[in-house]
Amino acid sequence: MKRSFFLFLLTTVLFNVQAQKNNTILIEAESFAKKGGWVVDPQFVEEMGSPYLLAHGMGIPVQDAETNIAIKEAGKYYVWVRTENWAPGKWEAPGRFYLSIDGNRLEKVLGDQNQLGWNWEYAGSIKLTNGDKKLSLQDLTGFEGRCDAIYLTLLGNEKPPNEKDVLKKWRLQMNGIPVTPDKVKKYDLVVVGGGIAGCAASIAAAQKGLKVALVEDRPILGGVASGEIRVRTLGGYGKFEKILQAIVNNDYFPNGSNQFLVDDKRRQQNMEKYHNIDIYLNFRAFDAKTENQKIISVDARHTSSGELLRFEAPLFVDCTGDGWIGYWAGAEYMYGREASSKYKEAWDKYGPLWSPETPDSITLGSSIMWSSKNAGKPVGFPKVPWAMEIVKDYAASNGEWDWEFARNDLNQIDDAEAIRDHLLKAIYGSFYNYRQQHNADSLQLEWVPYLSGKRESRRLVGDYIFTFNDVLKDKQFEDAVAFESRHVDIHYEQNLVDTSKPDFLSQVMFFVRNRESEIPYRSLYSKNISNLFMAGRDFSCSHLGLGSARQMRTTGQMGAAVGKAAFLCKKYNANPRDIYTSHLKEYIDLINADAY
Amino acid sequence: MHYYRLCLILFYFLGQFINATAYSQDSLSFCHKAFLLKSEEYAVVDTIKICRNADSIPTRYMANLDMTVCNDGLCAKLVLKMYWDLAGSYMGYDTIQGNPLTKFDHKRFTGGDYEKLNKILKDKNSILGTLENKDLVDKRITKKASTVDAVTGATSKPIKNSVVEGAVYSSYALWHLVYGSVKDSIRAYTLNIYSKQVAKQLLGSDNYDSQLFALKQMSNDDYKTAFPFLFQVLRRSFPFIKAYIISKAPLPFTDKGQNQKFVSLFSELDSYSKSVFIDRITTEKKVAIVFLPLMLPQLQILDSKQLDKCLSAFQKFKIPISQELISKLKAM
Ligand SMILES: Cc1cc2nc3c(=O)[nH]c(=O)nc-3n(C[C@H](O)[C@H](O)[C@H](O)COP(=O)(O)OP(=O)(O)OC[C@H]3O[C@@H](n4cnc5c(N)ncnc54)[C@H](O)[C@@H]3O)c2cc1C
Repeated sequence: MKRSFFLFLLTTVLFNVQAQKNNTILIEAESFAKKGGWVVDPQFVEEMGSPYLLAHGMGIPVQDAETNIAIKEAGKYYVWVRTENWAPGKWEAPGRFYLSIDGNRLEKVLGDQNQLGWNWEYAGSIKLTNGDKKLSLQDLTGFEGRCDAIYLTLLGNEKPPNEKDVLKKWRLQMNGIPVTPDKVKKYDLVVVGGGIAGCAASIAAAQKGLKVALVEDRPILGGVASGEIRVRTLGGYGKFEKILQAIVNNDYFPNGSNQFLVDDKRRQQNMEKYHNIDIYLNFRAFDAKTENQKIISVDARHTSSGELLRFEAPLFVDCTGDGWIGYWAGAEYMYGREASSKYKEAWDKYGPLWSPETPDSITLGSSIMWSSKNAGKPVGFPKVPWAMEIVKDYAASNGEWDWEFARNDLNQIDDAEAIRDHLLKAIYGSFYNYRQQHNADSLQLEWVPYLSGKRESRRLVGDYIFTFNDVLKDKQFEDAVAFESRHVDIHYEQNLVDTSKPDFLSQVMFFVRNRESEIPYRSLYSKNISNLFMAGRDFSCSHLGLGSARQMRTTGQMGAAVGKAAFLCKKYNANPRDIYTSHLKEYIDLINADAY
Repeated sequence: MHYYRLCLILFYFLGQFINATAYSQDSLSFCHKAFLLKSEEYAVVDTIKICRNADSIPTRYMANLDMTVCNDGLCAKLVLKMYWDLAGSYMGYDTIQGNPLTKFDHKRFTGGDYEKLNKILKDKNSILGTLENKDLVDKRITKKASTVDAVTGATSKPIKNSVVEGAVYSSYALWHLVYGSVKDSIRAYTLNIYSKQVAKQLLGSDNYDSQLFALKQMSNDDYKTAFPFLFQVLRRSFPFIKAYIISKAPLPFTDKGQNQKFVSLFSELDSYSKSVFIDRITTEKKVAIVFLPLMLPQLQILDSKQLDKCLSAFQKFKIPISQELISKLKAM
């Protein structure tokens, strides 16, 4: 009853929107012409609907973001802003900001609704004359204020829709964006996700003459290996040393070092040397069109401008880490920890901490590493009451890989924003405590990424599922294409076995393997989507299999192996599976011939 | 008849727990040989003794260790008493008078070093477990001993926190001894003398590994009979053990009071155990129909995910719940 009334209301709004476009304006915050100190955050599009602007100032208010809008009809506009109070409670919200229009600040402080989740906040009304008007966002805190969109309407004070699917349609209509992109790009191979796996896949295919599109939603390549997350490289080169050397060379920097920025440049330059790789930075894929279990195209949207592109190709590689392309295409996937009996992966030394008796939804966690520095003079840092429930009296001045958060009841994709925010609270709270407990009033936050470093989420199912049992049994494969010798590395949250510890620190369990493990080609293409490869942390493996194979270079080896296979697919007009069934010898010979 | 016997066992079990202390401080005179500990690497053949309290109940294992650890021509003698609990978990060590532990160049351990060694040996996950002897020192940086003609490398950087500085090889040898085959041997020995008293001690331990060892010895029937006791264990355990017991709970209990007691646990639980709890009571029909109605008064303290799971289970298993309540809960 309530719902149908809502739909009725909505159709009325839509009708008005279409009929009187000049009366309503929707501005996507990520498309602001000048971002000032705000950053575009595209990590949670599938969760909350859009990239958004984030005031990530580590406790210092960031510079205003500004843009111009054209007012075509003068009058009194009602203004709504889609925001989120990311830590509601009995304190001032952490991420507060103002909106100004045409130099007039709307009275309402934004970002402080007393409820969890994204919603439209009424900012107030303002009389506007015709012509260009400047909109600006004024951050008040530097603590992750967030603005998704701004809606101005002359049509009465009607709150825009917030329910996920309705909002999605409403946005498209308001923005006048076609549901399907009209720009189509055709390639031999489309690689989505420009982490180490995606970069390696692109190079290996390009070296063999394929025309490749590499679609990445960040402004730089490298994924977890990039200067945005700063994780040190481990793992072996296998048969692809040259390719891997070109894209990742971080062994000698400590985690979090700003040397990673240098490596980002080198990677970008090396990638650009391949004229048959078109790199689409800041494009986030959002759909895969499939016919008869085959992907026809992948659609992507620019994270700031909203520009839409459709990518068509006979072959696709999912290197998104989250298995997005597979997910949209309907590929089988796995999530969480399998029961130890499923693939015979039990290890008595750690029992259910290693592998549970019944399946659950625990994954390796996401991390935000961070650092602080001595400013040489006293600097302030505000109180962060909204972080204290999580940190209690825990204090720290920096955070390494073990600042990690995963919970059985939080999904690394559906709850990714809550997970990231939990880690931010952990950092700000622990830093605040450190300054207090050590009288460290010259200590200043130096580097805190707003991107979570994800270790594990969806894993797509291939013809073979690589498991810890393969490691235990030293299994060898005729189609071995990637090789890993580092110990199997699985984590659990420390506070599961020690409640004196906060819930954002993890503990590692190592299994030292006897010999190098082999990863078979059959774990690098989808079982049920005929033209989909996957490489990197979303390849076909069990949770514990990923513990063995997720090292950066190993994910790169997978990518490179897939790139080579794509070449043979093109040569024989074949599907990924056919390479195993009909061209395996040629494939392995090709890898060996090109080795190093 | 059977049921009556069962109850008697249960009462006995409960009574015992209430009187028990976590670790009895038995005198060593109650210790006797259990088996021989052999380590070829360190030429150790020592006797592992099992200790019992005045009531003859086994309480722990101990050994008088006497081993020599040599590297780069430098040797350290390790003479000490080592203690393990009944599941082979390290409990602590004592030095023996006249045999202090020493570091590089025969310097004596400081108080801090003794404490650090204990901390190192308690760390089941130590990085030492992944290393070989050759990885321990950085041979590029050397230091010379003054007392003997030998040179050794500097402690390699990543392991500095995991060893006593100047006693790298000793730390490494002791850690590998503690977490080596002795643990399995102790567990095998314990299983031979396993009894309810042993189980109770292990379940009452504050070492989750030892608790888990005992929980794993329990059959489904044991879970049924011992659950009143397990309620107490559950309450005082870490989240990992709490969740394990919840996942094994023989739900629904035949005793209605126990069902109620189980539900009233919910609000005391941590987030992990809560998620396991909610999964338990929403997955299987025979469990859901008993527990979801009992959860009604607690629905308002659930977070939105827990609530969604419960409400869809109400629907799926056709368990009555008023629309009014649903709307109220959703609005909250
Ligand atoms: C904190 C942390 C510590 C680690 N420590 C180490 C270590 O010490 N050594 C080591 O070798 N490995 C380490 N790892 C593991 C290793 O870094 C990763 O497994 C590996 O880098 C994954 O590479 P990938 O290419 O598969 O995925 P990612 O690096 O995650 O790349 C995926 C890319 O796809 C992009 N993307 C996602 N969705 C879309 C979309 N819809 N459209 C477009 N682009 C999209 C993402 O932005 C990202 O850039 C660590 C990982 C973490 C998180």
